[in-house]
Amino acid sequence: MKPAAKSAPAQPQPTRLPFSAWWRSGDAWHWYSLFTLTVSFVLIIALMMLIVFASVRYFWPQALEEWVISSGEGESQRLFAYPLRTLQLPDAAATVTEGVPEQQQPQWVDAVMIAYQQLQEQRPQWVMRAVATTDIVRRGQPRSLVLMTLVDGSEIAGYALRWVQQNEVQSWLSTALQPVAAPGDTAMAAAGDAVTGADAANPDEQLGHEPNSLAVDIQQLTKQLQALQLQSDLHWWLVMELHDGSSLPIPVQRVDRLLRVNNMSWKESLRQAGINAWQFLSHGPDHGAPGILPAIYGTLLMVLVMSVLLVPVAVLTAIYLHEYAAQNWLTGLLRAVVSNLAGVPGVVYGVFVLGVFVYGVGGSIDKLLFSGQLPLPTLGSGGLLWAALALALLTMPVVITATEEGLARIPDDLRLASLALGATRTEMVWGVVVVAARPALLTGLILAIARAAGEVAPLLVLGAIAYTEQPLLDGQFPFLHVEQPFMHLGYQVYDFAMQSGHADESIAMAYVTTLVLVLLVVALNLFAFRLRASFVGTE
Amino acid sequence: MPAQSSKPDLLQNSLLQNEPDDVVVSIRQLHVSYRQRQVLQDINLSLRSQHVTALIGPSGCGKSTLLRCLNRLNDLDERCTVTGQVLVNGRDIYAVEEDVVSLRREVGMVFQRPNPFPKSIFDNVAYGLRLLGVSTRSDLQQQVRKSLQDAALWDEVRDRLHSSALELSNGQQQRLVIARALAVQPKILLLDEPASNLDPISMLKLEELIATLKINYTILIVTHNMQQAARVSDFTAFMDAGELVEFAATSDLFTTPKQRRTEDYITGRYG
Ligand SMILES: Nc1ncnc2c1ncn2[C@@H]1O[C@H](COP(=O)(O)OP(=O)(O)OP(=O)(O)O)[C@@H](O)[C@H]1O
Ligand SMILES: [Mg+2]
Repeated sequence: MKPAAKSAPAQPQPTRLPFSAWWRSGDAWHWYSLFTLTVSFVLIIALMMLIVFASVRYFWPQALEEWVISSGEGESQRLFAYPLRTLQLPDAAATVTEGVPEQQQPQWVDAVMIAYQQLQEQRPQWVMRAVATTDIVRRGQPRSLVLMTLVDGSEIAGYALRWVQQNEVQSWLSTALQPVAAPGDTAMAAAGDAVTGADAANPDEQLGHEPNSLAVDIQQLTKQLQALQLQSDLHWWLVMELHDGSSLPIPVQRVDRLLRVNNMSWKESLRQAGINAWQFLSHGPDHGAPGILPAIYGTLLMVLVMSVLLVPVAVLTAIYLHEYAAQNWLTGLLRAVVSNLAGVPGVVYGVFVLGVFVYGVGGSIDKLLFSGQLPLPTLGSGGLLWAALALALLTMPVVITATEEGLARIPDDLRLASLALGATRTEMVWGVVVVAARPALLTGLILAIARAAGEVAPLLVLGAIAYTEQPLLDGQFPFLHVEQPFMHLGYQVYDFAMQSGHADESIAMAYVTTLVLVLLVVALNLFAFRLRASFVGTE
Repeated sequence: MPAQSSKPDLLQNSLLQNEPDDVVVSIRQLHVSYRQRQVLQDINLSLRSQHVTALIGPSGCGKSTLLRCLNRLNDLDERCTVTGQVLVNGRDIYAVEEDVVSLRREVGMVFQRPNPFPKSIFDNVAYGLRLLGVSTRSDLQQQVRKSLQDAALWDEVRDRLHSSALELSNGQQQRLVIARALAVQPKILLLDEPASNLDPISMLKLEELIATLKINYTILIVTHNMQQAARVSDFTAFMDAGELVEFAATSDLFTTPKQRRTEDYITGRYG
């Protein structure tokens, strides 16, 4: 080739092929396939980055701002707020002053959506509102602003003022001085009991223990807090200055964490993000803050029940198709039907199970066995069992096909060897073929789990719900309550993304839940891979 | 290729005419075809107890197929049809009432390609024993050990009985499947090229093993190695293109072959 290329007179550079020749050489396919690989890889990475970034941002402690906004007639108001996003509002001022709008187009002003602390039933709560930028008098991030998390998960923003003792609080309560600490205050309720019930033990004899002043450093402050929490005989309180200038004493025993969110090092922020993430993962939504632990349980249990329903049926089917059935057109047709079932949309299985199993089978079982509970359905309404059944049906083709392929890969020599040693066909199938096909079976199961864990459509009609207090697993017979509605990560994503009112937070939570779901599937797969590796090792 | 013309000669030369009474396996007018294709034609052959019979012939002539007829492993293949008679200890093994499972325990087989199970070395050898119902640990251990010793593999694997059989070398695997076949103590052993992957030393060991096994077993061995056939066997059968061309005492067949095709094959002028 080379001498020919060199002697070609039309070629200015002998090392370069003309485009047509290069095209004909087929190298273009090399680049084309590389290109498509890169595109799909970049898309996947981008998707994962988006999910991870959104999740980290959700957990990362956000700066808590102090806002002063004018509330009309020269008055102003102080807020402790998280700015969420900017938006545009119709300009109320413009329309009011001019009376009749001259333009058809309304006037718009920039605004910021904030979540700020407001007293609701004497207790600080986060609320959302939009503030026009023209109304902002001042905004800043004071470094001494404290975010306090109570043990029940609720949060109080403010300035820590001082430590006080129970008797002080009592006198405080009796004098009408108290601005917030009314008897209705939930944060106060427990404390109030303590105050009135047990009289403070020698309040005047605080021997050196009394922290006269608050530590400036947050770590010191936390240490003080912990030391005071340990003094079980004395009831210490921390007085917080709230956004409206009022003071709220909080019993130290109810304080979980203190944070100066605007004055944290990178490391502290990271730690905080970790704590937030752990809180989110290890609690249910009943905790006051959002949490998805029951959804994780629900997903895992559903995948488990699904596998229990799925594996025996799929394996026996695959064995029959490959080991026993005569290889004729009928078997071929069955095989084609099975693999085409993989293309049926999930919701169809959901509706099928709902119609046939929930209303039909479940309803009949209720009449026969649980007639005492009627008209309340037991198995006659959606629940974990039925959802798992729908997913088992949905993923059955994958497992059957994978197992059958595994069976086909086992050399006939092994079957013959087993028979030649005097094995019956059954002994041959179970003692050699199935044992050798375990890795393939697990591969099928991995695919099935990956598909099932992320499938939401059938669950919508089969008992997945956004919130339930009934645990699936408990100490009461039969321990695993498969007939109950359940929480599920995939459904939570759907719910957070589509149905919730608090758009900003719930979109972020949808991302976080997605990340958890993806990680859960990865973890399940890793587990199955390890299991498979241990099987392959014996081959 | 000369066709069926040799048949009268064959019958005259064969041992069939005056069949000795220690015949264990006797094959009569066996025809085998896959789909429509004849693979074995009119095979008549007798194996004598406590003798080694070697089966030689070019590749694809039907040796393995013949072996599979003797323990009915062809049954699995729907496309394979077998006609004729195979008598094992006087029983027609293709009769309806024949118990295939016990037949296969009686007629052990070592395959052309080593095919250990994807299990441990120990479990491979114990597989047939467990099927037989041997379940006590000590019995299993003792019999596995004996089989491995007989197959000249014990010394190499005694320290790793519980590692995977697939980690063994090809030649070791071959001896392992021999041990596996020996473990169930068949009366008749069918060996399909058992030495194809062995080094000269292991091959000699195997030949010694065959010589000792001969005392208790009836052995049919397929080999492509003329010297080996001459060394280990008492009788030799030469097959070509699905026919049994010549069957005689080994010393006769290699020194004074009666058929032209046999002579060509053993002197290397085949094809
Ligand atoms: N399962 C099968 N289906 C179809 N034809 C087969 C099958 N097994 C063997 N045959 C055919 O039968 C003939 C004999 O095959 P066989 O395996 O018995 O040969 P062989 O003598 O053992 O050869 P080798 O020495 O190479 O092992 C071959 O032509 C082969 O193509
Ligand atoms: Mg062969």
